[in-house]
Amino acid sequence: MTDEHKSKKPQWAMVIDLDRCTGCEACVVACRVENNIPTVGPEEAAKGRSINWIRIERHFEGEYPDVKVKFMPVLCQHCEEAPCEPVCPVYATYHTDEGLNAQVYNRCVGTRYCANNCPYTVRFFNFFDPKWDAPLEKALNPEVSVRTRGVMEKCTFCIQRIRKGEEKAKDEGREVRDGDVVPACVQTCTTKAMYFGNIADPESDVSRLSKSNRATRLLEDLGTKPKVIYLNKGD
Amino acid sequence: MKRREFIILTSVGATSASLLSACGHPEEKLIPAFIPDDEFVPGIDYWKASTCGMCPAGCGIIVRTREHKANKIEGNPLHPINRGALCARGQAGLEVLYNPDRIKGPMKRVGERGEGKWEEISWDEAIKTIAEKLREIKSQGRADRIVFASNDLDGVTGAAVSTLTSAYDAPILLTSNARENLIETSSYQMSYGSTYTPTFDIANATYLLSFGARFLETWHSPVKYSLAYGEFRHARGKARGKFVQVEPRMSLTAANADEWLPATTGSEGFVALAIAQVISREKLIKDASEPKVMAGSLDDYAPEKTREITGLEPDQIIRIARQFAFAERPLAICGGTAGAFGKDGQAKFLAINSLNTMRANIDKPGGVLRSSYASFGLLGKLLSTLRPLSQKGPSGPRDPAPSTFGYALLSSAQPFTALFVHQMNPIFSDPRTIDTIKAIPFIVSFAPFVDETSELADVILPDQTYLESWNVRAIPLSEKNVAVSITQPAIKPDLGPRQAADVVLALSRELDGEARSFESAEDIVRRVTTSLTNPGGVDEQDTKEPSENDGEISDVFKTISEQGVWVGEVDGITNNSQHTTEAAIHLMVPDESAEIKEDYPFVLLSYQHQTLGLGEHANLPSLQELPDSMTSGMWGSWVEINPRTAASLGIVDGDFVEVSSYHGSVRAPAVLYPAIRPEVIAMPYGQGHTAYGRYAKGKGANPILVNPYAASSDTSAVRVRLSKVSSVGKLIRFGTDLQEQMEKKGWRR
Repeated sequence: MTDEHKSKKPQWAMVIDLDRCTGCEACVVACRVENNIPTVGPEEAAKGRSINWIRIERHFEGEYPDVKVKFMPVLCQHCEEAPCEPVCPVYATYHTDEGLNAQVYNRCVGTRYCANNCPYTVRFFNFFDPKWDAPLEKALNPEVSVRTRGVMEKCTFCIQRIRKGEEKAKDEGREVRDGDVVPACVQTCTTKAMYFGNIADPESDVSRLSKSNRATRLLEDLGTKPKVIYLNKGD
Repeated sequence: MKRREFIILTSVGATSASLLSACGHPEEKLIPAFIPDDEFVPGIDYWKASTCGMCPAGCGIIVRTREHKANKIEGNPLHPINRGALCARGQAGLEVLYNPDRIKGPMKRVGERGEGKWEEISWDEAIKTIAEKLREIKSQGRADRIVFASNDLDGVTGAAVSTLTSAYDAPILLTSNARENLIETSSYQMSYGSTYTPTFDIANATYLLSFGARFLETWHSPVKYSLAYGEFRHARGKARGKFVQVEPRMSLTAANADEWLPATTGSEGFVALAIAQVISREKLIKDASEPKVMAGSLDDYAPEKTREITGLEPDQIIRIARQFAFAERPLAICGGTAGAFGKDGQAKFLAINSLNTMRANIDKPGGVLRSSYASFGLLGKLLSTLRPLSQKGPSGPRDPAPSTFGYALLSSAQPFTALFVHQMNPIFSDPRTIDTIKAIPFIVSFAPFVDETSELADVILPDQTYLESWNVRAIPLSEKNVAVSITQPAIKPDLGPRQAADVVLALSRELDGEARSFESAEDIVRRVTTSLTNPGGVDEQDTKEPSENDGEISDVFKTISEQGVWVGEVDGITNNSQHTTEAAIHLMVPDESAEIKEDYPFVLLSYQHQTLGLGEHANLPSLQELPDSMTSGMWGSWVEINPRTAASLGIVDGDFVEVSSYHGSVRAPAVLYPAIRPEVIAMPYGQGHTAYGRYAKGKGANPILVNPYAASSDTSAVRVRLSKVSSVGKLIRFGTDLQEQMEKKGWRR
């Protein structure tokens, strides 16, 4: 686990405004298309084997007629103190110097210890080789590898887009700034509830919003130090 | 010689020197794979701007392609409707394009109808067969009984059919599939004088009162209103807006409201008038124009007197009335279930609209922004010659929803001679029409998939998807401005299917060699867009300079095909939005005998599924496997039941239940749903296909079978009874244990 202050590289983080999020799930489908996440079909889905790198958690509160519902998009929190990392026997999951919780597919041997240790349930196991009925495979994103049977997978903060954004900034001889990197979920968000950027840059949106009095982190008291910041409902 | 070529040639030379010596210019023959295609460079993304075809809202999209394959769709940031955002349906569009169940080419029926035996034929043969049939029908003098049913009569298909009509020299009857919104749009004309559905300025409102309008899901333009909702909640220099939703079942939209008022099904009009009565009796708004009611006076609608009907307490209504009256910029909207149940749908909408009229927020920020129906230039002229089935003679300015297919087909006494079906699946969506359709001797389907209707067709001419087609449409933005949004192929279309408009034009040429008004759908789009003479930026504040050769025809097309959209004023816009019709509001208390209530104690509310719609997207695996936001259900349908009701019937979550009405019954798993009135049960549309490909077939149930009249009227609710069938429901749901963990710790603390 890297100390973010020592790294001069951008520290990627996400802010999700729960007052804007409507639970519409555009992000869920956008993520599936961008990251070549296969559908598994009804039989396997019934066994709990469907994969969603980002999902909408829904929570009903109260009884009729005083019912309230809360929606919360949940994805890999890219914890600074990630519980999934120390339990991997083969270093398939580790922390990059950009603050990302990375998963090296071809190192993974499928012990699933990481998923077991993740409090957010955002890691998914490939129970079989992914399959697309022809010609659906034509829609696969050529910049993202498909994962084979026996490996774990999860949200990467759209690493392929991060690399592209970083290269673009480098080509133009400048530091990355807001707008260079937009993950698929953030780009499609129908209410503009999601923000992504470099939290080490005090000028960035995520940096500014993370200081909001509405800011909170998921299961913060576990000490995982998530890189996804939620803004609660309210003024 | 470049280094790469040198390496290639020398390596080849080392292995086969004789080949080199045999040819004068070996590099031309040996390395074609290294000469780039002049249209793309491998490894580089190409983006194509177009218009989304997954719902009628008309959002702009940009399609990422590489090596002639589309691999992602994003929202077009230049498009005024969706400003770069895109909903779940739009994101799944590539699964329409690359769907494994697409029909590869024209097919002719060889077995009995519905037997599923087909023979592949060539396009030439298909067109000749149909032309022959049309000539035969004409020689029998029954050419006036041909129906062309399409959901694209406002686009290039409509223009192509207009060409066909003149080539065939007989009036072809037209219908579209518009449902439910007819009374809604006419209520906007009457209340506000808006000839097209107005824009509701949710972004700038401070108080939003919605009667059943699921504007975050399926109502009008979900992405446009989701963006507005985001600003309504949090925008710089603006207080957080308050949002109240009135509807019997908490939809996803209501789940986002600050307050949910579960009024009884169909009582929304009474709630609105009760609010109006409180505003009036407490004189909360100065000089408010009181709504006129048909019988008695407004005082008869006081919340104390209508409590039984609405199921809401008077103090709730009084509080809402005061909040609405005192809010800085209040706005009332209506739709969805508000028109359900009963024959007074229009009166309900008029009652709800009267709240806006009382606050005089028409054409004001945060209020109702009126717009005009845009039929412009060439396309407008062509379309005005078309003849809707329900009307006699050519229509004047076209009604956005001429007539619904089911109504038109069933209300006609004479038999039909031929049916063309395009972008519709009436056998699935309107089962009342099955017998009439089966009796039509010649059916031509343009379906890209074998669905329930094309199963009965005699010839199938598979259409291209919206990602391979040409089209153009005008979306009114305000009273004068429209967005002209074009659809163009994102990738080189497959050679198999052909766009329906192109086929209709080819058929016109076959019937009449002189019918050369248009070459193709692309030609229609090019010629329609040339009438747009002043290319402008998308935003008025956009500082971008207009292109240098301002005004040149090719330039307009170039701009619009690069940006996907053009915003400005167009000629021919019907600008008659000043006239309102004052009609007395005639609400009716549902007239139900005690006998019916005893036999059918519950009200079934069937609603459009957020992503599967009315079933048109059930063949997309990503949307089938997308957990429903409210229930987590996937790959099936379900019945939502209040836990107290379920307990009284001995039903637990996951049981298999039967819902039956006077018309029919369906079975589906039960979902205990805490946010629904105890006497109401709800089911989503979208499933229950018996055809339509591997992902759709045999999943869930179609609630239209319980309430067939919902297909062409505003009645989306019906009286039903409910019973348990077995304890194995098999609803697939997505879930994790995160909530348990969070509940242990207190949600979001």
